[in-house]
Amino acid sequence: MTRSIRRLVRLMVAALALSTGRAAAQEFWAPAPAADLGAAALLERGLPPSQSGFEAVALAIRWHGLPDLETRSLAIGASGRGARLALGLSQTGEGDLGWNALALAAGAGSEAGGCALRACGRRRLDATGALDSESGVEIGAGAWIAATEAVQVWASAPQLWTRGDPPPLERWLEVGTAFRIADARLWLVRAAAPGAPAGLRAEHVAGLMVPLGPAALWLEARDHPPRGGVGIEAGVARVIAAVEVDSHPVLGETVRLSLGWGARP
Amino acid sequence: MSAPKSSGGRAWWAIVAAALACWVIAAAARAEPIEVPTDVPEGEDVVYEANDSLASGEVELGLGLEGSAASKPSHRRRVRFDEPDFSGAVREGRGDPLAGGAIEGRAPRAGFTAGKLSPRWGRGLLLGSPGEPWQRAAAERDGGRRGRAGEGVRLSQGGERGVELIAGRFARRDLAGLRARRGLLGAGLLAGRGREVQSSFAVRPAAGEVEAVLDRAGNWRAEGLLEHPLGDWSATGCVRAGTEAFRSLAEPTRSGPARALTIAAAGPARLGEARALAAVWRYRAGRAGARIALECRHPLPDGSRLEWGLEEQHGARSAAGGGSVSLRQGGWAEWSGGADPLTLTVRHETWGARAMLRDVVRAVSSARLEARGPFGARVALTNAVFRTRRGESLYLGEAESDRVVLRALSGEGRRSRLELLVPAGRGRVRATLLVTTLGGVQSEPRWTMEWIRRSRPEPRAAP
Repeated sequence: MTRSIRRLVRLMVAALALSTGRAAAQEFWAPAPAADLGAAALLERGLPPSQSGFEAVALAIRWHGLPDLETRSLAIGASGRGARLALGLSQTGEGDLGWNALALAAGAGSEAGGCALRACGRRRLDATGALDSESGVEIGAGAWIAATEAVQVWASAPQLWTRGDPPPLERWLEVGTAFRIADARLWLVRAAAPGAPAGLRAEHVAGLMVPLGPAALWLEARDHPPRGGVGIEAGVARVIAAVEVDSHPVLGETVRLSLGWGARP
Repeated sequence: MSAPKSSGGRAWWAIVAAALACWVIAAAARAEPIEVPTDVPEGEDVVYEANDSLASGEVELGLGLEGSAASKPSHRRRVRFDEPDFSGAVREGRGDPLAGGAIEGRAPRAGFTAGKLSPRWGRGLLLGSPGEPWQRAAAERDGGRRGRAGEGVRLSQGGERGVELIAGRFARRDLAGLRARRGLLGAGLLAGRGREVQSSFAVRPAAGEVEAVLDRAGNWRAEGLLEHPLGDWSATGCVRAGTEAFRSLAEPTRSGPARALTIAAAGPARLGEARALAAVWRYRAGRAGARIALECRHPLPDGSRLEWGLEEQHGARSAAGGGSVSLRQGGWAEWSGGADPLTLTVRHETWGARAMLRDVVRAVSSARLEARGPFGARVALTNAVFRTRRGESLYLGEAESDRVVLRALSGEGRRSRLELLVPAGRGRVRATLLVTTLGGVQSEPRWTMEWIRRSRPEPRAAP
């Protein structure tokens, strides 16, 4: 009985922590500007990269400073001609608070735009950390278009259909626009999700990225509640490391780290 | 696609709502918000016949199935043909509000129609349904609703100097009508079994149209429309007056307000092609309304476009109901871009009960992706996220092969629709998959599949 109550409390804390996070992010939420598309974005939002090549990214996310709620993910992407494919594995949390995820995505992309289908299956862990019988799957899609050389528009609906154990975070429709102004990039995102505060049931994000020599720095501001984040990315040859810290006035900081190899925008 | 609603009274409403309103099809094709006819109960789906005509000599056949994991598949069939002097269409299917048929014969100076009828006299005050003054179509010469008013027979003789005879059942009433045309003038009589008689007199000059109608009790209604160019712009004014008690015998639920004034203008502006509308109307004392709307279509570089609109509405849209007069202020924007084989459209629309779009009562965001493949294959994915306040409904337009369905939605939810069109069997197969989540509950996916073939005879080789 005590174990069940403890598990329930821990799940509620986890759900609260995730539900107050970014409305459109789960296991493969890489530290990157919203319009930078790679293997992680293909798995997470169904948005394929414009460039061809091979890419592997390892991710580590600590949600709201909760040590019991850490995500470790690996995303691998491969693309050639117009085809874009990605495969990802992830584990979030430990013991009966955790789950494993396997994600697949396939689509087409070019410099002018792209679209993809993505699917993610999850299976919960039991108290010993072994796989539980509870599992669920979600299927979604995304697309982006280069409206002009300097403007990019995207839409992502990562959970068009779900089955089984519901996903830890319900995500509906994300629409975003990115503008390139000289070397800087500005993006605006509207992500609709159920239960989010305010009349329109959506979270809004505004971000700005500026290059700093071999690195790039970006800032993001979000509403509901007002909060912000800062990220930095640096690369040597084909190896790229990035970190982003998002603050929350109540729940603390979410820290995301990535180490990637291969093609990036 | 599910047939609109259940049996009994609802089904009757659905049939009434299945009016073949070409103007609504046109409106649905544009980005402006959907305005649903007021003769449809709040929250009911509305089905319109698609405005897709056949070329002469063409025959179209459609065989369809629809169902879900929780229901048995139901069949739907249709056939249409169009010959130079003869055309027809038949639809059948369980619960299909468009079921029925009509044949039409055409000769240089004569014609007949049997079956479903959608006649229109003048401005539609007596037959054909008048335009609703808050709609842009009301300020167009042929913008009224040519609805499926009834079933029967229509005969016509002569061109500009001719007569037209109609006999049929309209709004559960047996009616017969006779109309004579002489150039710009038209005069007609419509009579029912119970000594009900209504008359119509219409004039159609080059720059407009006027119709006046009168019944035996002395109730009358008159409407005039005038079009006038203003430089690069065009302006139209439409005014209606009459007694509150007037009801058309053929379409009593569509008589509309007794008094109305609609002014519409369209033309180029700095931001693109602009359209404006201002309308006021009154059913009776204490039951009136007004609407002012502005929309702009702005072409962008690389072929994409941005459309946006703002509007404010006050008051009542029907004669029935209480005296509540509410404010609705709406704004919407739609961007569409890309080129073959991939196009993307995103849209957001919000309505508030207070000024500056505050106190949101309805909001809907949607994205539509369309990809074209070889051999005419096409895939389209539409996802809409909506939220309405209790007691409010919003409508999403969904185009099907032979119809446009306005889906009534309320509460908080989302709707995803996948469409696939592929060539098959000397025709095309069109399949759709629909998933709706409402109040946190995802419904069983609904599916449709239809095989469509449109053919025309091979031209004979010259000897």
